[in-house]
Amino acid sequence: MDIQDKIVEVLPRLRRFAYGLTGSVERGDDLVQSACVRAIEKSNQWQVGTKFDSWMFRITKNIFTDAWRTEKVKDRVLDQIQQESESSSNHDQLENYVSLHEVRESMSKLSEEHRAILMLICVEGYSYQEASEMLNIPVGTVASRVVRARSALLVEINVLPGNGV
Amino acid sequence: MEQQKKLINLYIDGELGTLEAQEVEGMIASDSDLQQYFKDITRLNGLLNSAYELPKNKANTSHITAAIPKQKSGFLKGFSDINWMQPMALAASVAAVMVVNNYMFNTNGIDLSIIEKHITMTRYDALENKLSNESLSWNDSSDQYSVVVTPTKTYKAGNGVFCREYKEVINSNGEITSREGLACREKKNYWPSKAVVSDLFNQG
Repeated sequence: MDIQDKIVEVLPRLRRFAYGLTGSVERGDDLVQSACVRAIEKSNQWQVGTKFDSWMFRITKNIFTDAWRTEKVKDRVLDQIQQESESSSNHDQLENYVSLHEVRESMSKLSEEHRAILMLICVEGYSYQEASEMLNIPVGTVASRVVRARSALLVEINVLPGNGV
Repeated sequence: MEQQKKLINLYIDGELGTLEAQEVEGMIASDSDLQQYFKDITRLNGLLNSAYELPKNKANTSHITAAIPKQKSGFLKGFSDINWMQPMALAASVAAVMVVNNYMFNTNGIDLSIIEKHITMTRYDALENKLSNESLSWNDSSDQYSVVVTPTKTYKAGNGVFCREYKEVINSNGEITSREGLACREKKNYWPSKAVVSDLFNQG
């Protein structure tokens, strides 16, 4: 399997990861697009026999980290979430309604590090070892960060009106 | 407490061996605060998976491929055929479901697969038709087996899919098991579970 096939294979999960990081499908796809371009440009840096998933997720995370450091990107993410929240407000049909938009909104309030670890461990189901390779941090740091990230998300969700996890 | 929480996270994420996992189960069983934390984290995982569930319709990925250099874009021809919805790795949910599966039916010549089917259909029926905190029950003709399902909370995903939390109490020939779960509606009367937490720690 060559590198192109591997990119195709990992793409769906990469898109979801990017969605979790950016808070919107559109921005997430932009991020994945950039990651694909960079992966192709630097394909000689990927070593056969090493985990391709880890390499692609690390590229995606690094591009996002670079972009996130500009307030402009951050503002766009928050704007997008605000728009989604407003557009979904007319769809309340069932009682005791809690929108999963609010879960994503709570995610957006977490640090970039916490979002990344939650997406990799809780959504994508990667092991701590795999996440440590993707994020280039020790496994012990992954374990500690998972606890802190989940606690932070619990706090954010619980402060939403009418919510309780 | 922080160390215990860390162990519970390791347990939920499938990072512990069998013996370590058993020790954590014992630790949780003996502490109501840790039981609540376990349920919160498991439910949080279910919410996260529902919040980031990918749409089942085929995604238009032309906007992704547009900027890929043409001479290198041959591999992208398969993009439009990729379904966003891949089997999701619900590590925590799997761990929780394994816990749930600890309950066993007594076998008195009754076809247990039929009993389980009735339980599942009762759950689907309740999630489809009952308001939160309204219950739906089913019991077999011998009254040896029964289930009471109560939806407790409703969510709506960004793609319009409804998800509901529920509680259900199962009587299996006198052995009572209760559990809580999160299920999402894939079509009418079909609500596969995303995460389930049993009351393994409450059984007397």
